[in-house]
Amino acid sequence: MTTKIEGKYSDGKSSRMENALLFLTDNGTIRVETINDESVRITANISVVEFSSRLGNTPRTIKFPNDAQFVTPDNNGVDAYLSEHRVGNPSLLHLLESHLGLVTVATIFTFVFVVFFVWKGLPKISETIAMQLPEQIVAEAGYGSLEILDEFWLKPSKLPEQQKIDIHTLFSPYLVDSGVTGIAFRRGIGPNALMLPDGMAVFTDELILLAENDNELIAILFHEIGHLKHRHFLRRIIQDSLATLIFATIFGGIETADIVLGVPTLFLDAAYSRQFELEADRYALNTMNTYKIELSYFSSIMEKLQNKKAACDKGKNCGDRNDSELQDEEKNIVLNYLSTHPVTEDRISLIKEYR
Amino acid sequence: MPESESKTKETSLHKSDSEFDRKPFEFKGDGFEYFKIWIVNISLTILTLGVYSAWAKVRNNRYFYSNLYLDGHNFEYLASPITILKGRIVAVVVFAIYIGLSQVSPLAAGGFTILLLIFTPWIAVRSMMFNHRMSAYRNVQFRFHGRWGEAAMALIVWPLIGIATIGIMYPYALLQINRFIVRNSTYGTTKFAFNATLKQYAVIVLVAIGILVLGGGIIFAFTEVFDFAGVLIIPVYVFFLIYTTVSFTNLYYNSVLLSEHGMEAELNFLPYAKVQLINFTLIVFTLGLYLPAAKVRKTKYFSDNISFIARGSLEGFVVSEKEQVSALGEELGEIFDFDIGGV
Repeated sequence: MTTKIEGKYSDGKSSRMENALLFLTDNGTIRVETINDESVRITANISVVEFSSRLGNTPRTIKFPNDAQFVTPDNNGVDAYLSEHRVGNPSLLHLLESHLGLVTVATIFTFVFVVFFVWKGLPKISETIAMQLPEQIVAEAGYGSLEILDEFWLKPSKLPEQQKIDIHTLFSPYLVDSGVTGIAFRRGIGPNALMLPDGMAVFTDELILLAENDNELIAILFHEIGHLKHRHFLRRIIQDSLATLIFATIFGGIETADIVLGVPTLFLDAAYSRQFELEADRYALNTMNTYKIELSYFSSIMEKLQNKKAACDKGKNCGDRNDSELQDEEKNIVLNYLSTHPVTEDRISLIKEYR
Repeated sequence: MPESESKTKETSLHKSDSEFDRKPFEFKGDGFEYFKIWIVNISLTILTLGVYSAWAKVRNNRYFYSNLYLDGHNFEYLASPITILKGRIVAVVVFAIYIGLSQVSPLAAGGFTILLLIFTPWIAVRSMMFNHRMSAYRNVQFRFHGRWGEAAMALIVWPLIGIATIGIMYPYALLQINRFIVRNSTYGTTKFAFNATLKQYAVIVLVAIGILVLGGGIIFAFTEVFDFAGVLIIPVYVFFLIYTTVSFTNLYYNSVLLSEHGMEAELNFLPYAKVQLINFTLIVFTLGLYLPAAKVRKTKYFSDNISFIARGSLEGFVVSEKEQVSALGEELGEIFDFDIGGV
């Protein structure tokens, strides 16, 4: 029996293509004849020609050794002949790609993998890399960041000089080997404390005024040192760039992705920063235990911050009353202490583990 | 070097010319069909820890080339996955060396970066050679004959001059990049020509700057009215992006000539904005699963609005001599993410 397939033939020397018929015989001989005058264009054995693999409903190309080729949209005709006369299944991938059940499995698998990778894999990998980097790189990564913050967010502190000195004195015993390179006082982002990647700890006037006890400030200091010890800044950079790199490889080649990839990265960032806060909390509680500081100071300052934020959300009494422009900013600011932080009750209940 | 524009203009096409045949491009891909191929690609890439990505790339490209038709014939993507894989392995090794160096000594890593920058034009040329050679239509391959010296001028020196002159020379840089790419391309042995003028690029760049300035002004005015005026930067940017894509694409295709034949692109702002809006919305609501179908829709819009203007038969193009080009350049370019200009 001879299989007959319609298509177009090219001799491989120019862009000329003619309507032709491909004859596939049972003994493995392949012959191309033109439709117009039925003259034979080429004859070859199946062992020397190359059939392109099936891909959706795209046309199949049959390549001859001398660059001549035969193109046909008749996928079924080609597949029927191939499955009868060739060893193995040349369309295994097509089988995967056209089987609804298998495609569903692939979809679920991809979803589960992406979720698991983002949730567990990526943080672990970033942590491993961040912890192995030399100190020098860690310091360089954050060079100049206080200057940038001063430019855009922070205002100079209004605290009396004596109070600043007192706080320095209060903190100094805890700063040995902490990696902290300095304490800075600023104003303008509500009650907040920041740890910059170069080891500069920033406390706001509002936070200092909110804390009624020195130990509450020390609890915050330990939390910030926790960020530094765990290299959260670096891990965040590594996580973000790894996520972009890996997703670009997996979902690659799709330009539309550029616009959309930013959206999940934003959500990821928020989720990761919660993880970081919990880690910093654990560090703070551990260190408070080491220095025999009552853990209730941690919960009391957290509660105060929570109440302050609730008040802020209602639109009143956010720090500097006279500065209405700043009040608005305080409400919206991304850096706002509690917005990226875990729910206060969760944090306070964390204490139980350390008692 | 400003070349004589009048010479190429003579061969430019006008709709009033007699004996031309407008042949539209047609994309026959289907969103759901491609989704199935795409998701299998991703799954196998994950399962093989990335090795399958070379096969995935070939299947993706094949899907889009083979479904693109002109005059009843489809395009073809010819690269073999093994070639792509080899290039990818070398690229990963180079990347690992870079990471290793930056761990040991930032200075050595800096030197390595400079070395790579010097090689950028070479990589860009190799990449285009490979991609052209792996593209065929009617069993005739495309070719790229650019030299790395020209590439250095077009892809690095002119854009730098464009930036150094706060954008005044930027339209000229764009013209140089596209000229370099098109004029060094051939279909078989037949050369492409490019007859866009500096003025055409300058007009688009000026309007684009106008959009940004006007948008900036509106945002500034609104900051007085409500707090979140900064968010308006997004629509302004989208407007800018759609305008530049539509205008540069039209200019590019309308300026390309292939001996006596030409091309015509008629993309429009609103229809393209609609395509992008639908795509964006569906991608967000399907958590990304709509990505492949979005690519199909976008490709359809482009192919529906680009035509080939044939003057005479398309059968006489002669193939060029054989030559082997490795995938190395392309894959190096890919992993270090050098954006190779054009459009």
